[in-house]
Parts: sequence; C-alpha cells; structure tokens
Amino acid sequence: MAEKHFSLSALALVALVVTANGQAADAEAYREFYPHVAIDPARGVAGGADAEFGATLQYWQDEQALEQNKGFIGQVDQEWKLNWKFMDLDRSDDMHPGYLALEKAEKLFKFWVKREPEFRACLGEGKTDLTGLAAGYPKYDPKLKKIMTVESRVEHCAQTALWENFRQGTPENNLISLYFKSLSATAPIKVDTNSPEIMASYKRGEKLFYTKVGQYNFSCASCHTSSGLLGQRFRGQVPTSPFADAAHFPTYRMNLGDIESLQQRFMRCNLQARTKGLPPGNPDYTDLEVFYTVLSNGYPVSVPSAR
Amino acid sequence: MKSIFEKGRAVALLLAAAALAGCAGQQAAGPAKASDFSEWPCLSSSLPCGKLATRKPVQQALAGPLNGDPARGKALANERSKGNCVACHLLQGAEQPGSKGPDLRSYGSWARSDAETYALVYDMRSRNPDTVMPPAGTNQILTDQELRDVVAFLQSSK
Amino acid sequence: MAEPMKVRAKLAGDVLDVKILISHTMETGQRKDAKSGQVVPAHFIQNVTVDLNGKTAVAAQWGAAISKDPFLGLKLKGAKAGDTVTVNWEDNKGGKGSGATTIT
Repeated sequence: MAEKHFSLSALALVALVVTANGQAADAEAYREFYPHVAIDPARGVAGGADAEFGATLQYWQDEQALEQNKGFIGQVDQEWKLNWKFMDLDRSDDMHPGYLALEKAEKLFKFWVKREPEFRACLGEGKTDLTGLAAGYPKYDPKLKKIMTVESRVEHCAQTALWENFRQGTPENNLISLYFKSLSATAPIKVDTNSPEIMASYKRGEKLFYTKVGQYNFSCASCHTSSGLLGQRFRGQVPTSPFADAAHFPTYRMNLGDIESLQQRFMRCNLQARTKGLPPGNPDYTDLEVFYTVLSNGYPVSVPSAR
Repeated sequence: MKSIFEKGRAVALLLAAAALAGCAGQQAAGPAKASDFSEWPCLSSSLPCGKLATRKPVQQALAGPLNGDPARGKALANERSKGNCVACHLLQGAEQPGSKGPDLRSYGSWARSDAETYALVYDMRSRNPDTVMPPAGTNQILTDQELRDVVAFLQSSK
Repeated sequence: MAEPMKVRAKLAGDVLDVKILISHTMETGQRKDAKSGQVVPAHFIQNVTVDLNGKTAVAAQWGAAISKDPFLGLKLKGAKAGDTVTVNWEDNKGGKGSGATTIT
C-alpha cells in the first residue's frame, strides 16, 4: 500500500517537473518592472509638466506656446519638446496627407450612412449628431458590458447596423474612426475617471506601461520616461512624452503611407521592441489605451494629424 | 520491498534531473528565425506569453582568453538586428548614435578588464537591476563569440 | 485619381511660399502585393509643373523614389496678389491631375 503511494508521488513529482518546461509554472513567474513614477489620473494632460516625463507641457500646451517655440522645429535636439503638436490640425498649413485621408473618410462615412442611417445612430448611441462625442472615448458601455474605444465602436456598429466586417486595424475601420473623431476636433478629451470600470482598466493599463517584456526587456516606460529614453536620441529618433499622445490618433503615418490607429501603433511598437504584438482590439491594449487617453484628458482632440 | 522503494525514488529523481536538463537545453536553444517573439514575456493577460517569466539577471564569467575581433565587434555594435549598441551609445565610427548610455568612444582607456566588460555587456542588470540596457547575453541577442567581438571593439576604442 | 490636390500660396514680402499636396499612390513597381504575391505595377508621377500666371516657374521630373501622397514645397520670387499658381502633373500611365490657387 505504502509502496504504491510513494511511487505515485514520485511520478507526480516527475510530471510536475516535466510540465514546468523550464519556466516558472505554478509559482508566480519572475517579472521585472520599470521603476514606477506616480501619475495622478485626475490631472490629465497637466501631469506632463512633471520632470519625470520631460516637463515639456510648457512648450505645447496651447497655440500660444507652440507659436512661441516654433523655432524648435527642424532641430533634432529641440523638436521633441513640442511633442510633434505642430503637425496636428491645420497648424502645418493644412498640407499633410492626414487631410487627404479625412476627405476619403468623409466620403466613406457618408456612403454608409446613406445606405443605412442606423449606422450613424449606433455610433452616437442613439444621438444622430456625432459632434463632440468621440472626445469621451474610451468609455464603458453598460449594455455591451465592455470598454469601448472609437475603433471598437465602429467595428460594433458596422456589424450590427451594416452587417459589414470593419475589424479594428482595417482601412475602413481606421477611416470611419478618423471621421468620427474629426467631428470632435478641438474638443477637450474627457475620459470619465469617475467610472469604476474605466479606473480599473486604467490601473491595469498603468501596470502594463511599467512591465518589462520582450527580448530587449523593455517596458513602455523604458522609452517614455525621463529616467529612460524620453528626450534622448535613440538611433536618430527622440522618444517623446506619453502625455497628450492619444489626442492625435488615428494618425496618418508617413512611413506607412496610411492611417494608423493607437492600438495598431502599440502592436508595431511592441514588434519593434522584439515583443509579441497583440491584435488591435485586444483587451490588454484597450487597458493601455484607457491609461494613455487619461494622460490626454483636457487636451483637445487633434485629428486629422500626420506623423 | 524497501529496495524497490529506493530504486523507484532513484529513478524518479533521475527522470526529474533529466527533465530539468532537457528543459535547460531548450532554454539555451534560442528563438527561431522570423520569430513573432511569443517565446518572450508579453503584455497579454490571456496568451501563454503573458505568463512567461523574464530571465533573471546573470553575472556571467568570461571563459578563457577573450579571442574577440574588434572589426567584427564594431559591425555588430552598429547593426540594428544585432547588438544595436549605437542606438543608445556614442561609439567610434557611429552614425546617428544615441545619447542615453555613457559615451564609449574611449572605453579602451578606462582600464576595465575583459571579464568585467564581458559581464556587463552580457547582462547589465548584474550591476544595475533597473538598467534600461537589454541583456545581450542572457536574452541571446548576441552569441558568446559576438559578445567577445563587441568587448574587443570596446577595448580597442581609445 | 479624382481626388483633389491641395495648393496653398502665401506671400511674405516678395517671396511666395508655395505648398502642394498631391494624392497619388506612387507605386514603385518593386512592391509585392501581400495577398497575391504579385508585383504591384509601377504607377508614379513623372512630371510636375508649377506655373505662375501661365508661365512655368518650376518643372520637376519625378521617379519611383518619391513617396505616396507627395508634398512639394517651393519658394518663388516676383509674384504679387491676384496672381494664379497652377500645378499640373502626369504619371507613367498617362494619368493627369491639376490644381490651382490665387494669391491673396
């Protein structure tokens, strides 16, 4: 009796070791985190004034600041302080391809709304005037019981109202999201920090921001905090502050020749940092997007834009 | 009866050791070509890569003489798919170097041993646990010989 | 290629700052289509002219190296308010486009 019992435990031990497969299995896996910098979500974009994030807010916080500091444009070691805001809206004289994309987007949107007016009402959650609505995203939808981004709202409404598959990351989704957001251009971003679901997502996203991942063992914070690479030259580029960054997405990317959503950008950045890229719409990216957009609270929606 | 017990336990221990050795061997194999990096920890809370452990910091000793080629090391330091050291460091002959890491253009005159230099390039976390510098050795960004070449390049930078 | 071109011309002293944004795919002829694996045929602008009051001020010959949705910025002298800046382009497939603006 005792014999059998013992050899069974021996087998169990072997089985346990075999399934461990060289990684920390049942125990909490060893992970590294970038030193945490305290961010107060209530401050929104004003948190960008802190030294830990480049303290660049003073250079780009409004039109006056951008005008005063436009001499930075064209100088590699100074330009980053403007957080690229001079490329948004019509500050660069209405001449970037983001505007061409917007014209295309407007045509596409009007085509589908003419086909099915319910599409517009779905995007507006009942409202037919979509002006200013995108500034409140991401937001928690109590009917769908999930956090919706502009892109996921477009995907949802395309499915339910149009029976079309405009999945997140596709050109159709990006264009309609671009148009929807453009109807909120210059409106201050207002993610609801009083919503418990949003704040739970914010905290998860914040943790992800500091989690070291990939073959390079980088976290988002490794490049986007001042103790990391923010403001430093990084192979010819200069990483910038995460504050107010969500405001200009979806953006026209020069190197792609196309519109890119924020979560597509997360995916590409992860890949560039030798980390697995998750598909746009992934809940972890949504948590990151919530965190990221709260860091833009108070800053005007700056679409169309180009980068 | 007792001897069967002991035999059984010995076999179990041997099997366990073999499994562990096999697993360690797997870890040393390194990522496949054109990897999607799912063998490294990722940001997902649902995919397997979200549960993977980060490789712990390693204080790696230098085995034997350095035998590194400084010319190859310079190429590796500049190559984006290899060491990419120039992304953060000023190095001799670098174009568009980074500004985060210390200026290494005169590293060779700092009188640091090959062993110390090798250990830091292998895994800078052995000195600074919070470093931003990727662990080129521990995370198999560079092979042992490539690391030696980079050390040789640094030591020749005067 | 019915999509519009954007032309802006701003006078600052006696220098005219012209900015042109053209919507064009600018295919190099080197790219392979991700789905079919076939090479996407070259389709790019070959000639661009910028005229001031009907007289060509700048003529450019472009190649496949110019990127998608190209932006062209240039400065001209000798322009005054009321003058017209006209831009014309022609691509390797015989496609054409044009735009114009009047200087305020």
